[in-house]
Amino acid sequence: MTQTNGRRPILRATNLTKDLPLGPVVVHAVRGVDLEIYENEMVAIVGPSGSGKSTLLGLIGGLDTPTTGRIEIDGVDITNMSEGRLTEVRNEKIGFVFQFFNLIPTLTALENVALPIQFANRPKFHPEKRARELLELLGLGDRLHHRPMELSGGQQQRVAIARALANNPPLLLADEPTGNLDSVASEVVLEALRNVWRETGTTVVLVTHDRDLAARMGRVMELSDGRIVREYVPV
Amino acid sequence: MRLLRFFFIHSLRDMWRNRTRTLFALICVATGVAAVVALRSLAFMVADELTSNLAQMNRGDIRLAATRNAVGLVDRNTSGWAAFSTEAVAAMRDWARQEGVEITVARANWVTSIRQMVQGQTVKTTAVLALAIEPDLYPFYDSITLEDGRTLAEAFAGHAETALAARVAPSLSAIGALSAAPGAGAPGLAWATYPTYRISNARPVVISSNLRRESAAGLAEGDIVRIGASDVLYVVTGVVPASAESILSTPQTALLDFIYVPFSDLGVLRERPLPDQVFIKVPLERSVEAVDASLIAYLESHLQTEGDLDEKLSRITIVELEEENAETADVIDDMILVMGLSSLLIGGIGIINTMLVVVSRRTLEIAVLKTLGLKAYRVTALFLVEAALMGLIGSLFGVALGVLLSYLVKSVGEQAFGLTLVWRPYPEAMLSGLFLGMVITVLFGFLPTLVAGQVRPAIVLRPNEAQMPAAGLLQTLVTLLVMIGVLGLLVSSIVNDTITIDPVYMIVGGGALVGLFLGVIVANLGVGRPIPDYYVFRLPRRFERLENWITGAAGGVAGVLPVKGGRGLERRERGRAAITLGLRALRQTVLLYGALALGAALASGVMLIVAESWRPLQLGETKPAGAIWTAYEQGAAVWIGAWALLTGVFGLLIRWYGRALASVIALGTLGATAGGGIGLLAGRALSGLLDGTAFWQTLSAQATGIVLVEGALALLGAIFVGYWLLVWAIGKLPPVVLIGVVSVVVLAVVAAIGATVAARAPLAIAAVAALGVFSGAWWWQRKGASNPLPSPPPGWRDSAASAGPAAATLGTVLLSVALVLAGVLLAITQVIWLRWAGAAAGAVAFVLLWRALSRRFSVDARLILREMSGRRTRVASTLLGLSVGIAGLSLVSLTTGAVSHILEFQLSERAEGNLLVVTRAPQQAAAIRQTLDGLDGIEHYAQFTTYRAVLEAVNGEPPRFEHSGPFNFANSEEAEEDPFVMILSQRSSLEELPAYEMASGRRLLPSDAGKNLIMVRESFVTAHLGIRAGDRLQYRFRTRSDPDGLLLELEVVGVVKAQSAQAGFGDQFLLPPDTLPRTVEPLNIVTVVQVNEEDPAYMDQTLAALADVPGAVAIELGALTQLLKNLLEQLNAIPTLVAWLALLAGTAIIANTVALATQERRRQIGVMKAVGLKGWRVLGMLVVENGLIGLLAGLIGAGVGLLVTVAVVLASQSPEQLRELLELSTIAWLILLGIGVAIGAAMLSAWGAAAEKPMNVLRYE
Repeated sequence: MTQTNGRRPILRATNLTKDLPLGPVVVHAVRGVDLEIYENEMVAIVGPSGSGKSTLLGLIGGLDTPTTGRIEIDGVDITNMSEGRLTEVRNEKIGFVFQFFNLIPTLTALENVALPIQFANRPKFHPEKRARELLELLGLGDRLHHRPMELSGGQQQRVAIARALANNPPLLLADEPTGNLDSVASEVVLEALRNVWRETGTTVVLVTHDRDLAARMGRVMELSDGRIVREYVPV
Repeated sequence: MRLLRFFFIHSLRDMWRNRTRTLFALICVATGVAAVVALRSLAFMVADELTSNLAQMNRGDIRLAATRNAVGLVDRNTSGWAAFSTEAVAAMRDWARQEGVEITVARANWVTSIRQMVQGQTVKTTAVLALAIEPDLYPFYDSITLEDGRTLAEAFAGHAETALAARVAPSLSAIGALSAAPGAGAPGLAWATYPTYRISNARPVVISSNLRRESAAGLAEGDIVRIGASDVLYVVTGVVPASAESILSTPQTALLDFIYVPFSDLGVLRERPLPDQVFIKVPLERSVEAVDASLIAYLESHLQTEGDLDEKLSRITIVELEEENAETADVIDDMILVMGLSSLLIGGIGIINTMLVVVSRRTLEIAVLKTLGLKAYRVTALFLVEAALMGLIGSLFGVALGVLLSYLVKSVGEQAFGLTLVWRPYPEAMLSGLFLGMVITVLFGFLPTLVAGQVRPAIVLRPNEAQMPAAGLLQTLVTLLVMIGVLGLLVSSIVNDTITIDPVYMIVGGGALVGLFLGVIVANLGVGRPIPDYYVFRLPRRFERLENWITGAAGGVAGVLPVKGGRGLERRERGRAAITLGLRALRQTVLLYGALALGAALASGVMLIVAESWRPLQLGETKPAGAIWTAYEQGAAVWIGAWALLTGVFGLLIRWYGRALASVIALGTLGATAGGGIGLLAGRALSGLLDGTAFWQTLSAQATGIVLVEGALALLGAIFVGYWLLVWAIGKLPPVVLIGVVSVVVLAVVAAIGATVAARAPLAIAAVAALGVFSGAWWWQRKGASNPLPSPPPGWRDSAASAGPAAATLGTVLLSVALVLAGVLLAITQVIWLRWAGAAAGAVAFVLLWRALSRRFSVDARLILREMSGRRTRVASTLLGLSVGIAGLSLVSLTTGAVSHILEFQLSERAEGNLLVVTRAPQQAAAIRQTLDGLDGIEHYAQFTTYRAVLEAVNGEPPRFEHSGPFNFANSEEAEEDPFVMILSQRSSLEELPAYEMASGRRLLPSDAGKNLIMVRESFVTAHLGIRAGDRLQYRFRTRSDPDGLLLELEVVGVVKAQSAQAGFGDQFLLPPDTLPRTVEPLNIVTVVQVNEEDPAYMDQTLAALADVPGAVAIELGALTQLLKNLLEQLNAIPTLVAWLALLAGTAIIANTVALATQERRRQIGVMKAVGLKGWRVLGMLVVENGLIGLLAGLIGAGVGLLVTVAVVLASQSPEQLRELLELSTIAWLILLGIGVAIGAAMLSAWGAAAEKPMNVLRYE
């Protein structure tokens, strides 16, 4: 395992490109991105709409395959992995939080959180026990048996965070996690993410177009036209 | 296990959450399963009837029938039919006494007449089947009960005269009084003269209930009748239900009504007292086989028999009957099961549609699950569990529904099989329904679940762009093969005994299907679309080395070719450019090939239709060659030129306007050919390697079903592609066309209702029309008045004003309806110009309505067309489901109607007469002629003697039918050994021979009498044997004197055209009079008589006179036609039932489709309502959209029936009847049925969707 500055890189991408054919033209959504994210980091990827943030998140999260380049997660090269193997990597090593929560509407909060453990080839936790612990950690101990429809937006997003953490992944990827929430709920969710980061040591990569939100992360990468144009540590 | 539990819970919750959608899917499965359960229950009911009460059915434990084969035992009865001789009967009775078994005899094939007598005159003569029985013994093991509760024996044992007295003269209670005072009945009683006709000697006869109800004179208990040629009077002493003799015990009752007379009366009835049936009752403790063997041994030792009597004596024991009936029951069960499966397969379409929607609606959910770590195969399993649950619940509902339905269809089975059935629930039928329902649901739901597995998880990042993926190529192919295998096994288990097919054909079919499928997929992937400029040849990254090798090689080749700009590039880049260029060239070639191939097929179709219509439409005398290769063989240059021109025009049109179609055709056909070829090679190789092994035998056992399924899939696939293209084409239509169609349908329905009511109450229609005019005018003058909005600024295009306010539209609609009704009133008059005025009013109404609707609803029409086009796969499958039912109904109604009409026409119009007299006794030929010659009202008649002969040679060569193709019918070997048996007729006179239209040679002439000549009519047989004028046909006839028969060579003097306008009976193979020596045994003497139809008395008198000729049966052709029609109806009962069940399944599908469509479009509907679209317009759009699907299904379904009808009529001997046979009203009703079913089913879910509050949808969807 490569060590840089004494820290272990959890995510490493080299010369990443992604071309998307759109009708008669090809859109170069990601153009030669190189990035390294280390364990227990909290990184924000910012950029305007259409800059390639979500595409990049999809690539580094193993949701999509790059046109060229190489991606390593926790030391494992996922670039040419089969779909089945990628699914396992996502299950074990990555947690996802989405803007629109994407909870399963027919399942309760507890059942939603337990899902990734149930899907694991070799479950590391007892699904219900772990789900209960996580939901309580996120302040939803009294909402265990509520369906998504019966929860507020902020509560739904916290359930989604709990679900992302179910298998204790080393990497948590969040795509505009507060984009669909009001300011109060956004603050609650952000605080929840920070708590998670502090208490579990999970690396958090957050994609947002909100510069204020990004400024509260440990490191910020700015994306424009599919390229990282600036990288800085917020003051 | 943990996951499986999760899958179950998740699926159940999803089904409950989307309960409307689930309900409709369940209905789809349930209707199909119900059809299977109901039809199978029916088959079991029939099987029960066939295999139980065998002794009752057989009328004894052993039943002997007299046939000519049983030499030494048989004689001839008065009608010339084989009957047991007096000695044989005596021997059998002796044997029965010795053996201690019971025996009774009967005559069961005596077709005679029954004459109702009033005041000594015949009032009605009817052909009947007379069953001469021994009433005290017949039938063994059963008792026939009369309608009044008495037994058959009692009806014959009582005093006939008592019944007679009650009817004849209520005041005279004793027969003695009648006998004592002849002619002294009570004054005023019409029956009073009866006693003068030896009434004291009247004998009892029992009639069937059909004879009482259906005979025109209406026979009843107490009526005096005469039977056959006898002048003895009989009195009807009882009526038995027609079901007393089923078609199983006495098959002739399917065609003729029957009467019972005592066997001992045969002498009195001027018939030889010889039985043709003998029934034996074996005591319980004795073995039937042993008794049977003892009978044969006894008869062989006591009578002069020839050969092996065991083989030659026709008889059936209950043991054999059980085997035979069990086989029959199996065949019926198989046939019915196949029919039921069609409904279930239609239900399967509903499952595919539902599962596709389930997957499409849950694409994001699937992506999330995959993001969380659920693997593709588990996603598939999750959805498969849901499909299986739907299958299980739907099948359980279906089973319950099917049991109820089976009670309702019992009467259809009774009509179809002529049996009295007993209803009960059949667990086997229920289980098979459950099993098949589950199998079909899982099988049909499998492909959509595979699609679910292919959802890309990246969708979670852009939920608004979520799109259904296509199923993976490999998985789809595997699914296809599994589907073929499973369905093939099912079908094999049904049809395996009937046909066997070489497994090589199975492999060829599989290869062709896979090739076809691959071709279509590749075509869909991009051949239809141009290759974009940015295209760069790349393989997936794991094949990088292969990609480098290919591009390098292509670059190398391109380097030596004069490719533009090629030399300046790096080798691999040059290779990529060359590959792009090559792919473009290949694509163009493929497109051109596909377009021309389809163009050629279309051109051939057009030419074939033109050729077939040539003579019926009177385009010319000589029919041109239909098939292009025939034209080529005939050197018809103009015809070939026209074909080439059409091919070019069609091909170019398809190339420019239907690239997708051309690519699908090209690659589909190429794929199928290549796949089939590879399959053939592989099949041959496997056959060589494995033939004779157990594996190959197992494969052979399943090959039949699999080949049939492959064929059915190919056919269904072709139909589906056709429908898909049709929907695609409709989606391209301008909205005004759709509005025009709606206008036509609406006005046609109004006109149809108007015409129906106007025929009875024209004033009511006039009142409604007037009301329409007034209310239309009132609404029209309100236009603009109801618009509360301020006027738009000058210069603005006021869309509301140009569209016209709602009031104006409503006013125009009402006016149009009024105009159509007025037109209907004019059209039903007899005055031609008024009729034209009515048609003009209809046309004006159409234009008014069309313009008004176009102004107001063109946007709705555009949305409808776009929606249909956008969902063309589902619309096509819905269309398939619905059109199958309507096609079935149109086939049974239109085609049967046409066949029945042609039969009637040929029997009544084209036959040489209206009365048929048949006898088997040659000596009666002269008696019949003599009787006819002495009667008034006989216009002319022709008499034929028919002979059975074996064709031994054609021009000295043995005749031969060529068998070809992959199908080997189980009994084909026997069929090939069968001699060519033909029925030849010899006409008594050639003076009045009809004016036949000859294909070759000449007609027979009076001077040909006594010459060895023959005139034949074109038919399937003559075509296959290639018989032409001048040919020499060698026949062997059976004679009384020579056991080898008589060998005679006849020269074909002429061939009559199959469709010759003039046709008589017995002119298929016609001989001149006196050609055959008298020693040749005739089969029948047929006399066709034309009786004057102006006065019905002539016919009655003729029938009565012919009834006096012993052994002759006279049947009015009208009655015969009716009998045939009844038989056709009977044969049609089950197909009609199946068609209705298929339509029910189709209805369920369309209800399901609409439910799915509305659910999918909830958001769209919400948005449209949010921006101002009213609920009724949403409803209107859904109704019109589905009404259009119904219209298409109706048109296609009715079209199928119409095409088959046209083909049947053109192939018949009366093609000129085509115009009369096109039942436009039936076609219109079928189309309306399609529209009605579609709209009715659509309303079930469209109503709720249209009423949905937009906020509910936009917030929660």
